[in-house]
Amino acid sequence: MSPSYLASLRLAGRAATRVWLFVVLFALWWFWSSGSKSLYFPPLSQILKALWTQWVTGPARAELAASLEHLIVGYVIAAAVGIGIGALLWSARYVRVATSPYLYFLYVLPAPVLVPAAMTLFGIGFTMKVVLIAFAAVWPTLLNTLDGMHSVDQVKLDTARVLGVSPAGRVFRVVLPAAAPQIVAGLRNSLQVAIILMVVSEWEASTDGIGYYIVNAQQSFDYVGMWSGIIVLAIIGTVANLLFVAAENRVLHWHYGARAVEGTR
Amino acid sequence: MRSARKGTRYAVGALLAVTALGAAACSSSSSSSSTSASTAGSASATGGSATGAVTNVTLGYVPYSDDASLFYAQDSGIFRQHGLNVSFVAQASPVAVEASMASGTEQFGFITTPVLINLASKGVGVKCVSTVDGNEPTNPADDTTVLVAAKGSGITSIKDLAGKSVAEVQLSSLNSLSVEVLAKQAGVNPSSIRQVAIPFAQMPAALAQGRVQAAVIVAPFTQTAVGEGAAVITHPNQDLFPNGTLTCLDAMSSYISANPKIVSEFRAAMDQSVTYSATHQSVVKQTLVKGLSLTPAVAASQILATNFSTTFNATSISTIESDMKQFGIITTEPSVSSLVWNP
Amino acid sequence: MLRRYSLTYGLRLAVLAAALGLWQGLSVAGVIRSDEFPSMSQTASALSDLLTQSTLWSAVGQTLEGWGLGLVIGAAAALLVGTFIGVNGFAYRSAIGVIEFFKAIPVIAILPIGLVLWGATLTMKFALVAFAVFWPLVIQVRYGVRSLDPVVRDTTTVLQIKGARKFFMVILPSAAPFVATGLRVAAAVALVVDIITELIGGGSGIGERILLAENAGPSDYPQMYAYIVVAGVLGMVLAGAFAVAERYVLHWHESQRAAKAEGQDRGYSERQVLVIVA
Repeated sequence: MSPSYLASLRLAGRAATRVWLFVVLFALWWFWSSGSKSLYFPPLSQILKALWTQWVTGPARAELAASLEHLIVGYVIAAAVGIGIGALLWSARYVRVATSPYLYFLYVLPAPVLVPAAMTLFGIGFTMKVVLIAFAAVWPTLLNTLDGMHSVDQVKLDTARVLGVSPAGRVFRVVLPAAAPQIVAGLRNSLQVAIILMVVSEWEASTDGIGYYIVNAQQSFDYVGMWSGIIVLAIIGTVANLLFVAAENRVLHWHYGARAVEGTR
Repeated sequence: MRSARKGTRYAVGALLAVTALGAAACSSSSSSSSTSASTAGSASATGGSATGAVTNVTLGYVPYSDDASLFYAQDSGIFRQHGLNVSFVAQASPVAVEASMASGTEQFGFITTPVLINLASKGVGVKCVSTVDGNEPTNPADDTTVLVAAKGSGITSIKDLAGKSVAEVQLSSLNSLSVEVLAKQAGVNPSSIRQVAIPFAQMPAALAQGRVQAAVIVAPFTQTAVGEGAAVITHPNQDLFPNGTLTCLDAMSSYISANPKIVSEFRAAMDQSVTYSATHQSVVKQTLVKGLSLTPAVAASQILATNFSTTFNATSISTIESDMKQFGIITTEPSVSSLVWNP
Repeated sequence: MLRRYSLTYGLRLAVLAAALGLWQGLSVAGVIRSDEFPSMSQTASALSDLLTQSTLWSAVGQTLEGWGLGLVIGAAAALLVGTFIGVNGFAYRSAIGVIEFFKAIPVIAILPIGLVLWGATLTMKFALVAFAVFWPLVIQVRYGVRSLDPVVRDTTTVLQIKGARKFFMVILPSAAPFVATGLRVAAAVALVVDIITELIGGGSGIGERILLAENAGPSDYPQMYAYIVVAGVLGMVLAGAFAVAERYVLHWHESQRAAKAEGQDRGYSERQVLVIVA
C-alpha cells in the first residue's frame, strides 16, 4: 500500500468519525417520521424537499440572503466595537467594576422585550436588525477582550515600557497579541449570539429574513416550512463555526504552535 | 478580620441560594396549567380529571377584553353549576393555544376563524364549541377593530393604500386578510400593499413616526393612535363580515367525540354567561380586574365588541373560507358544518 | 479593603442613579415616547405597588421553578456528556458536529414543538430551558476538562495516577473554574429562555405577567415595564449568587487567589465567557 493511499484512507476515516452520528440520527428521524400524518411532525422527506424547493432553488433564497446580510454586518460591527472598546477600556478598571453587574441585567432581558425600543429608535428595517444583532453580540467579545488583556503577563508589559514602546504600541504589539486567544474565544461566542439575534430580530416587524420566514410558517401552520427553516439555521450555525475554526487556526497558528510544544493542543 | 469578611461572603451567598430555592419550592401555583390534568406526550382523547361531581378542564386563551364572559362563567360559578372547573392559561396567540391543545394538556381554547379554517384544511380536527362572547356587533361604535391612517399620510380611503405600508398584529390573520379583500374590492392590487407585523402596543408610535402609513388596530391602543392624529378609515370586520363569527372557543374533534357531555355542559354554561353579559355588562366587565390585571375604572371603560349572540354565523365562516382560498392561504375548503359543533 | 468595597458599591450605585435619572430625563423630554414607554417614575411606582402583592412573588417563584429544574437537568447532562467527550477523542469527533448543529437552533423557533409535546406547562418550560442550556455548556465543560496544565498533566503521568483517581483529583479540579463560569452564564441563559417560553408559549411566571400587562393596553405599561425590571434584577441576583458561590467553592484555585491578592473584583470570569441570548 502506497503512503498516499494510506493517507487518504486515514483522511476518509477521520471524515467518517465526524459524520457517522449525523447519519445515524438522520436515518432515525427519516424512518420514525416516514409515515407520519401529524401536522407538527411531518415526514423528513417532505422537509428535505421543501429545503430544496424553497431554500436552494426557490423564493426563500431572498430571506436567506437578507438574513446573512444582517448577520455579517451586525457581527463585523460587534467584533470591531468589542475589540475597540475593550482596547480603550482595558485600563479603566473602575468603569468595568462599576458596570459589571448591570451587564447581567441587560443579558437576561429577552430580545422580544428589546425590540420595541429598537423599533422606535431605528425603524423597522435593516438598521434595527443590525443594531440589535450588534448590541447583543458585542458583549462576549468585549468581555473576553477585557479579560484577555487584563491577564497579560506583567513582565512582558514592563519590558515593553522599559524598551520605550509607546502606550498605543504597547496595546497593539504586546497586549492584544497576548490576549488574542481569549479574544478569539469571545469572537466565536459572539458569532453564536449574532446568529440567534439574527433570527429573533426578524421575528417582529420584519418583512424579510429567516426569522420572518419561520414565524410566518408557524403562524400559518406550515410546519414543513418551519422545520426546513430550523434546519437552515442549524446549517448556518455549523458552517459559520467551521469557517471560524479554520480562520482561527490560520490566525493563531503561532500561538497554537507554541502551545503544541508544551503539548496542550 | 479576613475570616469575618469571608464569613460575610459565604453568608450572603448561602442566603441568596436558599432564597432562590425557597422561592421556587414555596411558589404557589396560580390559576394555570401546572396543577391541572396533564397527559404526557400524545394528544389525548380524554382530558380533565373528575373530583366528585366537578370535572377539571384547562382552557388556553389570549388575554383581551372580550374574555370577560368567559372569566365571568368561572368566577360566578356558572361553570361549576354545569359540573366544570375551568383553569385558564394565558398565551400569546391562537397558534400557541392550538399547539397546547394538540399536546392534550388543554381541552378547550380560544381560536380565530381563519386559524380554525387553516387547521381544518390541513387535516387537524377542530370545532368551535361556543362563541367567546358573541359575534360582530351591529353598531360600529361597539366594534373595536379599526383601520386607521397615520397623520399626514394622505390616506382617506382604501384606494389610497396602494403602494403603502400597513401594520397588522400578525400576518396570517383575519386583519391582514381583511385588508387584502377590501383592497381588491376597491380595485387596488393587494400585493402593492406592504404588510408588516407589528404588536399593537408599538402601532401608535409606528404610525406617528411614519414607519407605516396605516394600521389595523384595536382598543385600547386605538385611543392612543387617534390621540396622536391618526384617522379612522373604516371598520374592516363590519364591512366584510357583518355579525360574523370571527372568534370562538374550540375543542379538538377527538375530545368532543369522547366527551360529549362535558362539551355540551361547557356550551350551556357559556351560553348562559354570554346571555347574562348582554344585560349586565358592567358586572361582567369587572372580571377583567383579576383576569387582565386592570384597575376597576379601566375595566369598566372597556368596550365589549360583540352582539352577545350564542349561535354561530355559518355564512360568515363560509365567506372567510372563500376569501382565504382566493388569496391562496388554503387549498381545500372544509365544509362549514365540520367546523362548528352545536348541541 | 473596606474602602475599596465601598468604592466599588458606591460606583455601582452612582451608575444606577445615573441610568435611572437618564431614563426619567428622556421620558420627560419626550425622547422616550410616552405612547409606548412609561417614565421611570411611573414604573418605579408600579414596581413598589407590585412588591407588596403576592402576584409578583408567585410569578417570580413560578419562573424560578422552570429555571431551576431546567438548569439542573441541562447542567447535569452537560457535565456528564462534556466530560465524556473531553476524555474520549473519538466521542468528541463524533459528537461535535451534532452539538454545533443543535446549538444554533434558537428556542423561539422550536417553541411550538415544545407546546405540542408538553403544552403550556412547567414540563415544557424546563425541557426547553434544559435544551438551551445543554449545548453551549457541554462545549464549555469539555474545554475545562481539556484545560489541564501540561506540567500537571506530565506530573500525573509520571506519578502514574490513572482512571477515576485521576478524574477526581486532577481533571475535575482543573476543569472547575471553566465549569463554574459556564454555570453562571447558563443561569442567565436559563432565565431568558424561561421568560420567553412564558411570554410567547404560555405558562405562569414573569413572562406571563408581562404578556397580560402588554395586552391590557397603555394604562398598564408601567406594570409591564416593572415586571421587565424585575426580570432583569432577578438575572443580576442569580448571576451574582453564582459568582459568590464560585468564589466560595473555588477559593483554593489559583485564579481566585490571584484575584484576591490583587484585590480586584472579578464580576465575570477571566476564562471564556459563553453567552447565549435566546
